Amino acid sequence: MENAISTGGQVTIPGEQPVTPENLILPDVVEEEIRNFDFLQSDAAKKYFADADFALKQGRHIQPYGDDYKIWDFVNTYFNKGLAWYYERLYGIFLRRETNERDLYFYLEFAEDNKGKFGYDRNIPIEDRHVVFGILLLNVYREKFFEEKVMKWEELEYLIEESEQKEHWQKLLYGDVRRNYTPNEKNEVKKKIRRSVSWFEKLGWTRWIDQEKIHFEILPGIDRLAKLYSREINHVDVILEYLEGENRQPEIPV
Amino acid sequence: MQEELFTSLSGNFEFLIPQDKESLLVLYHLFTRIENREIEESFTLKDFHDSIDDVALYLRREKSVQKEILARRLSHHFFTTLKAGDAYHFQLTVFSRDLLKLLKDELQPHYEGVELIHTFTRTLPLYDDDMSSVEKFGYWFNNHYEPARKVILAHTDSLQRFVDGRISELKQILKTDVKKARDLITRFIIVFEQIGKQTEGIIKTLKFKEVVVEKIKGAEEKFSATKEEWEKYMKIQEEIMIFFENVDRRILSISDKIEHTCSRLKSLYDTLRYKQEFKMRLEKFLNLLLVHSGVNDGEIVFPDCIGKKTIPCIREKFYYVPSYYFGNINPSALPDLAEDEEYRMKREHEKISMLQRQESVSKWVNEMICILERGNSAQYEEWFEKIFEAEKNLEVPVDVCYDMIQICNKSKIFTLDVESELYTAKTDPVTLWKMQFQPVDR
Repeated sequence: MENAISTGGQVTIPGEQPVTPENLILPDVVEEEIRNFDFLQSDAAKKYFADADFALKQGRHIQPYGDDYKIWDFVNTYFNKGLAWYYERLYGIFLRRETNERDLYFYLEFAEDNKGKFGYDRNIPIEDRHVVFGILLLNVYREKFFEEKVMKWEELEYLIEESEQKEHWQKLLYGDVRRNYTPNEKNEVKKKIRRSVSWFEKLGWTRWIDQEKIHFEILPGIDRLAKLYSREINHVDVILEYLEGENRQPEIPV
Repeated sequence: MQEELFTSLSGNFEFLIPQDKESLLVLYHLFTRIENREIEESFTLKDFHDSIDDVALYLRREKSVQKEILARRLSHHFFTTLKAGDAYHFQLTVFSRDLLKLLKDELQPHYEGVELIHTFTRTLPLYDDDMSSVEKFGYWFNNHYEPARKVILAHTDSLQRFVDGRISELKQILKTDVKKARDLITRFIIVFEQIGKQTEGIIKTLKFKEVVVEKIKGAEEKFSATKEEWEKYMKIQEEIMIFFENVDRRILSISDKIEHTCSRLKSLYDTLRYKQEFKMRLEKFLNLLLVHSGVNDGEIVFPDCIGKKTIPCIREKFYYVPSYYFGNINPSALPDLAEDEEYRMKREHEKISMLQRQESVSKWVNEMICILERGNSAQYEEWFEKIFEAEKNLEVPVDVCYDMIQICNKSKIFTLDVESELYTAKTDPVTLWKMQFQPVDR
């Protein structure tokens, strides 16, 4: 167990340099990439490659949580020892390694200009209803910096019924804005949300704690949405100007 | 015994615990005035009345406080009356002082900023001489350990509050204006240092505690001469071990919190400047999606300028919906079975195989019906061979044949001719009648 200790005004983590504003940012470790498939001969590959490969090809974001821990460990170990090269060379797509608040996660991503061997029906568009809900969860994830990234139905219910943005949520979820909704309508909305969270769970963006009660944990992989929509997020003002009629079709820089 | 105490407590409740703010504040005011030597330990009635007036002024009471009634109520347990000549003097009781001191420690703990190790080393040192005889060890237990125990627990309570307070402070720092990032960083480095200082104390405390435990355990042989000594020694040892386990749990919980916060802080520094700006844009983007999206056929639709994103994903899928008949059994009504993992996997595999077989059967039946609908006939033995060759599973052509017979029985547009001649399939030993399916009008 690591403990922070103070040494004459400087705080250190045992085994590391003193933490000061200058060195708080950790240097990136540069690791040379191996471009061959020798890793497939390893015992670890025999045990975990197939599971990792299936998971990645099914769109999963692999993180060190629950059952994914072992395949995460495998992917992390062999990422630069041929595994990333394997996907680039044989499938024409990239195995990405990203961090979200220091949590490492892995996923497959298309190249800029083509889908490699994942054309036709080997890819899936993210439905708009999932995106809007996913962006909400991403927002919550970043707000709950020191807390558990857990969400309950009650929080979502508050958002839909009480928050400042309740009318917008109601319009999108119920189709119109009214003072009251029938129990059936409410139930349908609950089902929609449950379906979205279940879909996110398949991708490794959330993890159910209690599916029936809609109680779940948001995982670091949700950060992929920020990567997918980074251009739109970074140029949100340009899009807003266009949508509010003050600009022509937005030209968002790549 | 318990019942007697309960009766006594409930009977004296209103005299044991100050019943209103005035009473408590008057007592506390007297207590601090004595401590500050503003009044004598034996204070006068005037001192008492002055304290009541000060409190009434502080509380902005419009009605005057009933001094006599208050004095009578507090005189039961909180002060004693002494007669000195013609005048009456009063003194706070030990109970009263202890209670007020406890309240003061609870609200303003004097451990703040002091490491836990300080409390341990001041209150719980165990010297070799303390272990020289069971009497001395007993003396240490009664006169050092027992009071120290209370102080240590109070300090860990206080430390817990301190760490929670600092973490909450950090949460507040995070919510403030990002433009003052440099100021924020300086502020959380200070908090970081405060927490680090406490952690250092915790590490030392755990080491110190281990030394005390080892000393006590190491003295086992010394106290094994008589049964009486041994039992006394073991009783003390057991009590200390339980206490230390409790302290361990508390300290480790605090330490975990600190460790978690420290790792978060490191990451916070990395991302702080970028994070807040990105977070603001993210909120804006969410708002944009909410405001500018529409609803079509119950589905959310983004504005055209927000393109759809795709991710690599190979889905498992069935091309034909299997026709599956459950009979009178409602699958959801089946009770859950306590299955082991291997058995469950096997069952799942079997179910998938069955669904795949059903899917194939559906596909072949559809294909045969298409042929018949086009006005052609189908000689089943030829189809049998064709299906078996494709599927490599004898059950599929058999099921297809069965389904086709059922369809012909119910259908008015297809018929089945069975010739009384046997056909032996190439896949011996299957033998079937020669059969021809054909449309009625043919």
